[in-house]
Amino acid sequence: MQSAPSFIDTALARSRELDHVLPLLASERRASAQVIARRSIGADTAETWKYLPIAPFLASPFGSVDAVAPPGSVRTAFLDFADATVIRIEGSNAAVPATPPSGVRLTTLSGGGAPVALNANIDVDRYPLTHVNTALLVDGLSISVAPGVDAGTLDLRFTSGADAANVSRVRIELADGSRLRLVEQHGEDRATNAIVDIAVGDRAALEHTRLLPAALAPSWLLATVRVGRDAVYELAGHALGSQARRHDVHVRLDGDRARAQIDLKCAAHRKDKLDHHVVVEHVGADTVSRQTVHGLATNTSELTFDGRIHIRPGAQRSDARLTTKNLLLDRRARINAKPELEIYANDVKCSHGATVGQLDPNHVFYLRARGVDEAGARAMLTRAFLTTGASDALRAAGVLDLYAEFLAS
Amino acid sequence: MSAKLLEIDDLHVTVAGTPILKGLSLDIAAGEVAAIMGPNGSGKSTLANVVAGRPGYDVTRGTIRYRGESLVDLAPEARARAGVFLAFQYPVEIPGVSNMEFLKASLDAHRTARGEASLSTVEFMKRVRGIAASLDLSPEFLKRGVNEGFSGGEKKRNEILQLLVLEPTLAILDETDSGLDIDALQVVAGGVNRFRGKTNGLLLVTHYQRLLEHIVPDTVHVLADGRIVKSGDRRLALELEEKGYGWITDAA
Repeated sequence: MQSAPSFIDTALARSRELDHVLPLLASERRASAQVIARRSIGADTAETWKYLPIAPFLASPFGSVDAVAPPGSVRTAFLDFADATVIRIEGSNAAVPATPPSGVRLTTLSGGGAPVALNANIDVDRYPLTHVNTALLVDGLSISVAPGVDAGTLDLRFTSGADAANVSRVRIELADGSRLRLVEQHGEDRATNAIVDIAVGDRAALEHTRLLPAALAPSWLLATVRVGRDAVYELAGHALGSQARRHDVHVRLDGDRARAQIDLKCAAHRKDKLDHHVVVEHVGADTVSRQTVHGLATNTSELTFDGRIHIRPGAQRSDARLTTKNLLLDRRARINAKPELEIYANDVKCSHGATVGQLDPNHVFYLRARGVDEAGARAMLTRAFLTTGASDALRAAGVLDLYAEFLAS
Repeated sequence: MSAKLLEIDDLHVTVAGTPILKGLSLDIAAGEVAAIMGPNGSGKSTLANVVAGRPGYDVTRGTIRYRGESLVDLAPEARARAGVFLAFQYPVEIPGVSNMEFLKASLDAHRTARGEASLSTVEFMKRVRGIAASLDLSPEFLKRGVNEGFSGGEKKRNEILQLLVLEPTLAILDETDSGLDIDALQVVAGGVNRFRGKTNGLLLVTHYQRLLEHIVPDTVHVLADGRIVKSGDRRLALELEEKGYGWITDAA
């Protein structure tokens, strides 16, 4: 047992308290509370939580009954995206805007947005912290896009609420043939357990941007995505620093010809510990996945990327590719790149490759030969490494500044 | 101040422990266009790179003076800001850094070193677009990554664009003619000829005489085995074209 008893006790007390406030999610809350009570979470995580242990995610302040934490320095420097509808999520509380874009339905989970089973689409054995989320969730947000609608851009901004920790849950459903650009910006300054559960319907398309600036407290983020027939899911994730962050992404290509494109950029410095774990499951036939990960580590930071491609029986003619490129800028820094393939169909294309290197001295010299000083040249090249392929929308919103600020800090 | 722009005396350079330049001496005056010719492996590119300050090119003996001051201990960026420009033989592709961002950072560094204010984005764009048009480079390419996906000819024209934007005093063109078809060569030569002037010096490093038909040199030097073995005027280049390098390098 890795977690402190105080966490168990306080979490259970808090969970019972929530039963009175929000009876709607009570049965699932109780089920997860029982798992916590059995002390089975974290018992078998030596392999799956190898580099960054699970313990800090099973400790106070999660579950603190003493709910009101001192006001933190809530990050307010969110990037502004053109024509986006902003939705603020403070702790567990989502402020639903009075006028959502047409064709989009926004409700709280307690206000009718909860499905029959909250965790129906989550592999809770693989993601045991889901139980912490379920047991301690006050409420969540449900977003659904009507069939055939292009819903434009929704910008979800997560900040800390009144509680000692942030526990949040967002469910997103794109009906058949709909489109959505989803921006998710996390600015919580406290311990965080956040789940985004997404379903992309047949022929629908979701462009998902995740901006994860440095977290000051343990932060676990899970995105689970189911992708339907002929549907497309694209994720552009940018993760900067963090004292201890675990980022899980689980994409299931359910429908035939479903397609996923995942581009992750991760930068760690100082003593940061940044873990990314991506699972792509090919279930339908003729499904395609592309994963590209750029990682950068300086000082004594540690960056982990675990990318798993799982081809289910029946997922014939699947085509999966995984590439990781890493820059190690300090001999004390560490990058763990771990690609895994698990294949149960016989007619598939699967490839993975990983590189670890330093900045190209020819690039540095080229810039210096044009008058840019060495530090400036290295900063420019480092930023370029992390913003290669960034969309015009992301550039216009100032993602370069975000990196410049981070690398200078 | 010396009327000489560049004075190289008894220069010995090793690369990864191997001696490449073995006592090279060469002067370039303000306003002069000098051509360095020579067979492959004679040390032409080493000369170009050592003047620009490329790491790994170690001066073991001799001096390089630019406007009377030693260059040897200066960082590459300091040389560039002082007005020394190298047009690369193989310009690198840098995805993620746009041509525009790169050129603006370069020009800002040069202007700051000269005590001038940075150009506004509008002024800068106007200037760069004008020069790009004169080199048959579309404005679209400025948004792309530095040399990313450029053809060989576009890369070389991009080098000349940088030359004309940064306005150095001494330009070294390292095999700028290689890989260019005749049309591209004329465009590049046109750009280089605009750079020529009373105060600017130019060092053309080339294997072939062809470039010198378009950019006519004042002096021609033949480099062989790390030393200048023969100097003359442009007629020397024509003679080399006719007879090859053997008659000089064998005699040396």
